Amino acid sequence: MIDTLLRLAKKAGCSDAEVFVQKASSDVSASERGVLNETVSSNDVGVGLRVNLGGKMGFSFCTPTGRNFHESLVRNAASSAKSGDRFTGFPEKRKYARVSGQFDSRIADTGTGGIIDMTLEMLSALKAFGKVRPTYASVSRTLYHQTIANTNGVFVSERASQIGCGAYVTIGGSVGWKSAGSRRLGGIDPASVAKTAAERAIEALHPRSISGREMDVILRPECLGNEDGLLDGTLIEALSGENVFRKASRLSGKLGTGIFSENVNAFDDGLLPGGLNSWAADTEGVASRRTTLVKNGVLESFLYDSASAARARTSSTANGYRGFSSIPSVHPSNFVLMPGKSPEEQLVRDMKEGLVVSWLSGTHTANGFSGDFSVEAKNAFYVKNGRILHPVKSAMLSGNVFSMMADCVCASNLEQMPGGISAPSIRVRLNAIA
Amino acid sequence: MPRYEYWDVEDVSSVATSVRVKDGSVMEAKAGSSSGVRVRAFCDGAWAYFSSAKPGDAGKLLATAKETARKLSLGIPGPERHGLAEFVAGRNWSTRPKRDPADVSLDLKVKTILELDRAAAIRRNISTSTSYSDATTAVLLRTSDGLELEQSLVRCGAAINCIAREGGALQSMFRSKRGSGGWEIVESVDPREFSADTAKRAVSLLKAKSAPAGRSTVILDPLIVGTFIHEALGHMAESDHVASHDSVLEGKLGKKIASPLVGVTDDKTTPGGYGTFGFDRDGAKAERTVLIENGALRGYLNSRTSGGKLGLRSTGNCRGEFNQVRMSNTNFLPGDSSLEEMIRETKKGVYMIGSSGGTALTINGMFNFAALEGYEIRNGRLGAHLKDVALMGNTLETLKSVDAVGRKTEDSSGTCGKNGEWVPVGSSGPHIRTVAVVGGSHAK
Repeated sequence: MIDTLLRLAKKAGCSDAEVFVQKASSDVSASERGVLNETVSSNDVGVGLRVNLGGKMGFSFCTPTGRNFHESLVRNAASSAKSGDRFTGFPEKRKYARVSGQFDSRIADTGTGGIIDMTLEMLSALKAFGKVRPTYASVSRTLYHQTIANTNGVFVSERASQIGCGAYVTIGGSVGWKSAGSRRLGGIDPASVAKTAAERAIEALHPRSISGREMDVILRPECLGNEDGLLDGTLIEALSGENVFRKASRLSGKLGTGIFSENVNAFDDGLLPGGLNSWAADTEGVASRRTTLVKNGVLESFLYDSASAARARTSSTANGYRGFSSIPSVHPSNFVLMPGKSPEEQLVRDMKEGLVVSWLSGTHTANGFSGDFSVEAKNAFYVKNGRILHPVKSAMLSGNVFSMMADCVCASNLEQMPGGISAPSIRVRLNAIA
Repeated sequence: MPRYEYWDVEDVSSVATSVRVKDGSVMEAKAGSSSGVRVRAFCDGAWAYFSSAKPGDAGKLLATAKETARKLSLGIPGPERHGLAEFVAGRNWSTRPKRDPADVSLDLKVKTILELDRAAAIRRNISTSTSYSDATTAVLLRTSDGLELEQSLVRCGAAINCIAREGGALQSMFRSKRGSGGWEIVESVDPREFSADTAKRAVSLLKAKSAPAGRSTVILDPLIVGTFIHEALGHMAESDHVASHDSVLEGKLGKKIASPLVGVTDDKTTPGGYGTFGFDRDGAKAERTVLIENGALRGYLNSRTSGGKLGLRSTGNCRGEFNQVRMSNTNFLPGDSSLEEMIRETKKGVYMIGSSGGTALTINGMFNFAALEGYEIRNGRLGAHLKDVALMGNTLETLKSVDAVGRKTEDSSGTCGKNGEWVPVGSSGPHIRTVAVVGGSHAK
């Protein structure tokens, strides 16, 4: 299919062409109310074609089925080039590093039966907690296969596996949840994930009100990391080379300057061993690499895909990501806010008065450009003189992501998140509104 | 022996075009298509779902799905077994666009979006991004009940985001217009109102101050009322949450849960609504479902599955790839006040305008969401311009505190995510006045 598409594109007058094929097959086993009652199996495939026609870029996508999809895909891509952006070139052929732990054949072999057994393990772990209601528990496995090829000779074809599980439980009005993901079959422990969800719901029972004011707050890893953490729509967007070039980032013009507290270090690494977004190449065929973003609080680099790098006259950092139906855009691979030296318990002990917060609700309402946010603290605990006293009924936390990180302490408890953005607990100063 | 079995096969194909423009340059202009087949089999409370990009796989997948559902049902204890809810079967249905997006060239779509984008460049130090999308989705649903239904849904719309800069400060403003229908939705957009006005509002926010934090009287504009009623009530009325003991509305059918001024519906039939359709994923006919009438809870949103668990009839709210209870167009019904009266009667409070999204926890009714901008209200008059105004509260308390509901309503549109699936939804509402906790962030 790939050769045919590249050949047909050339025949249609396109001087350059690129094919991206994405396949995913996944199985999910899910339970509601403690009863395993659902399985989902899907087999998806899609292809995207980018072309250069007369110096302009065209793009189209389709599900590659039926007899004539090759011709219509090329025709649509060529026709969209008339209205397209200036063509800035496709990546050149190069050597790719081997990514360790990307594919575990045991995940492929485990089958639906395997994930059903793991879901039952979760349910039996939850039964031990008596009154905790097992609202939802599930296990999923996905096998990915993606191929990128272009007329510069780039050809990368990679497979990856992923297994994940999650539990959401309630008791009284209290909620607990936990999810985990890994590229290795043994990389998650479904029973312990279920147990953590139950323990989280129980520890948040019988909350009490607090009076609101500015105070120290420890934000646990899930507050910052993951796709629904605070960093995704704010700091991550500000690090995008495209936003920087458009001056739509608060970090424009700040390269080489101290932007955060000296104990803040962050990097992006597409080759991170075991990383859930580790691939030998990004989705346009640029060899994956590690990019230091913040070193001892100083801004070292931004993230670029090929197009934004061309606009900014620099090189891609291998951060072009997409699904088959889109052209690449700047996205981190495995973003890591590095852990500090002190354990979270030490940060709690050092706190005179404040909150420890397990997760945040409403992070997508944070202002992605200014970094201002007002979000709700969930499963939060009141701390006085270094001791956790009781869960907190409700509190809105407001502040600014950039100023908060200019004055923060990172704890030593890094946790890898399924969403590709990982962070430790951090202690910051925020306004708590009750 | 299984007591209740059911299966269906859905063939889906869609064609879509989209355009993305940033700062007056085209970033992406594309047309594409996708297709596949989705198979569902049910047995006594157990579901097996299969999907494939190859339509020819349907027969094989259906056989496997039936077998899997039967096997799964063996593990379901007696009290948890159930059938599927009663429903009114839908009929063939299609959106009737005045101007089918397929008949409009990609070139014209690009030109129009470029024009909207450039109209926002009202001064230096402003970044704009404008997008367009249309999608036509065709579905053929065949069920074991003998239904064979066809549906074609056409949705179209545009959105703009403007970022204003001054010194180190950045402020943004967003606006969108989307609906069920064709090119006429975008063609009717006035660039001055849609783009230049959005840019002006972003610029004016550069001088806005943070909202006063704490419990306060709030007047919500129709757009944020749309978000409020969707997030803070609609999700709690989704009866999969009720069946899983995960909704604050469990056990409250028929009870007063809001001020008598409050009326709420979920209307799948709203002409032009972004969440409008003819029949749902179960093949159930779209209907207007009353959720709250004069402050009393009148119903939940049910699929055949969640309704089957609770002994309630389907309300035609099964959407998404396989089987989720989802809203369609959720409406806060109008009352008899006006915005002017509400402001005049308010001694101290906050007026919140536009929505930048929100979220709620169904189990306890706690919600939070954010407005695009706001104004302080002092002694019956609007005062200082406010930025990043957020609101937090408990749904039932906030609905009980509603003491004024406006006459005029306005529609809005969005996409709603649940368990990783996104569906288009609509909302409408008037201005309302209530009490909740306001949080303003503080940029240093």
